[in-house]
Amino acid sequence: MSVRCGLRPGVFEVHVNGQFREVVLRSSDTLLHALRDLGLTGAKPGCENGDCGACTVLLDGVPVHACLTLGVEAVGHSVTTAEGLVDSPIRQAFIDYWAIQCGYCTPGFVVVCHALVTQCKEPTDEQIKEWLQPNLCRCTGYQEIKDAVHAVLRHSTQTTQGGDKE
Amino acid sequence: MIAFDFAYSRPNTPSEAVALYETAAAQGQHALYYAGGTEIITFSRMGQMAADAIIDIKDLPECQVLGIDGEEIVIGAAVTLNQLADSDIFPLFGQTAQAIADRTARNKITVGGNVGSRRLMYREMALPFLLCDSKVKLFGPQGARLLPFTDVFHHALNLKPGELITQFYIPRSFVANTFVHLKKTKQSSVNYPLVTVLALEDGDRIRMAFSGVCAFPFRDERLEELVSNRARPLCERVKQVIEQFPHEVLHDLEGSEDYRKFVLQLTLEEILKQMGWAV
Ligand SMILES: Cc1cc2nc3c(=O)[nH]c(=O)nc-3n(C[C@H](O)[C@H](O)[C@H](O)COP(=O)(O)OP(=O)(O)OC[C@H]3O[C@@H](n4cnc5c(N)ncnc54)[C@H](O)[C@@H]3O)c2cc1C
Ligand code: FES
Ligand code: FES
Repeated sequence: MSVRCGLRPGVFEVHVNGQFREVVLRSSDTLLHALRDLGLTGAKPGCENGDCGACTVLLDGVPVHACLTLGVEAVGHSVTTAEGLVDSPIRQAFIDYWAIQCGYCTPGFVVVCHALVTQCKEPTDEQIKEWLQPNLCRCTGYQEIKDAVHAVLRHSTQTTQGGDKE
Repeated sequence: MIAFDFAYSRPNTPSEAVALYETAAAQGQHALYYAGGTEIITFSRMGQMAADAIIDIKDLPECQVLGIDGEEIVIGAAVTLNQLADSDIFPLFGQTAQAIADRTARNKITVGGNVGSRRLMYREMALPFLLCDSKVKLFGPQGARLLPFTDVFHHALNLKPGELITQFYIPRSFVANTFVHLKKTKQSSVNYPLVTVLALEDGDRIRMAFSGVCAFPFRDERLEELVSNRARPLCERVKQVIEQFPHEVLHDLEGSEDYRKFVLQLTLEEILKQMGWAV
């Protein structure tokens, strides 16, 4: 699909969290601000420079910095924000393992951790480190976040093994 | 927020992309090809870059290719650094890609965008292309051309107005060669390089390319001769390289000139030892 957006703001349809949403966009608006204008404030403006990961969302399932993505780039693709992961095992694990302090970094972490646990079934410690490295937690709750990830991975391994036995 | 407006297009063919570029240029507008957009967004937000027309080349099918064609590996310019590394198609390229930025950023940063980077001097993805006798396919107002990488990349990418890279070609014969990639940063592993050295064994010679040491990435055959001269002891070879370094070594907030040279010396020694070229 060829996409065009002129100098003036336009109305675009973006697929977010399973729904088509209409959003008024300048072509130079980042996806971060487009989502927040839709009331989806999970993706947080931190550095707006690709350094903190607070704005992480999934674009066609792949974690990206919403601050380094134009809103118009999402046209024709599917976006998932932390709000779209309310029923995910990783979100519950963040609660169970106290992986939240002030909470500012949490939506970004939830998004990247969800991608990790769903896309890498048996990640090595090195892979977990690589996936989590882009996200900063200034309250320094890194250990609890890793605990939450391991809990979900353990649970999915047990479920798979249980399923195999049946 | 980016404080200026631009027209955005995401064409499906290189001809369409170039036509959009020419239309903008004919109207006196500044057009930019856009791939991952990480550099364009960052510097536009800071007011250090501007454009009237942004032409997103991510959907061009030839720019998304990643595979093998006969005796060559083909990498599309819009392939992301993670796609390249995760494919494991050529570990020399994969390891170089994996050492750039962080995993989330690498889902957006493209091979062509890193090589074509104008604002940042590192362009670490250029290193393996410099070492592997690579070719580059360009598309522009005069159509397509295939050139040696070194014809269009001398410290930075040098294309004709309206031209874009669509693909890179690397001889498969290099895949079997021993290589070492070492990146030294000031603090965290995710950072710009103080020193990045990529070394590739080629018969009785080691090829070497550098980023971070000087204000641009480069390969230098004279340094390769010095480093490959096994008749001399390791420390002497490395000392010669540092003394005869062909370009000014950076002296900035990341590291002073002396510190960079010190790190470079240790890095070269480590590389030669790892490659079994210490004696
Ligand atoms: C967190 C972070 C850390 C980073 N760390 C490093 C690092 O350690 N080492 C390093 O080398 N870089 C690093 N970078 C810089 C990063 O490499 C650049 O932002 C990136 O390379 C730009 O790639 P892009 O695909 O996003 O390009 P874009 O922003 O889309 O484009 C960059 C330039 O290339 C041109 N261009 C893009 N595609 C083509 C093409 N096909 N043909 C011709 N011209 C083209 C554009 O016109 C533009 O001038 C880092 C960036 C971030 C965000
Ligand atoms: S706000 Fe996007 S990475 Fe910090
Ligand atoms: S919980 Fe406060 S920044 Fe992470």
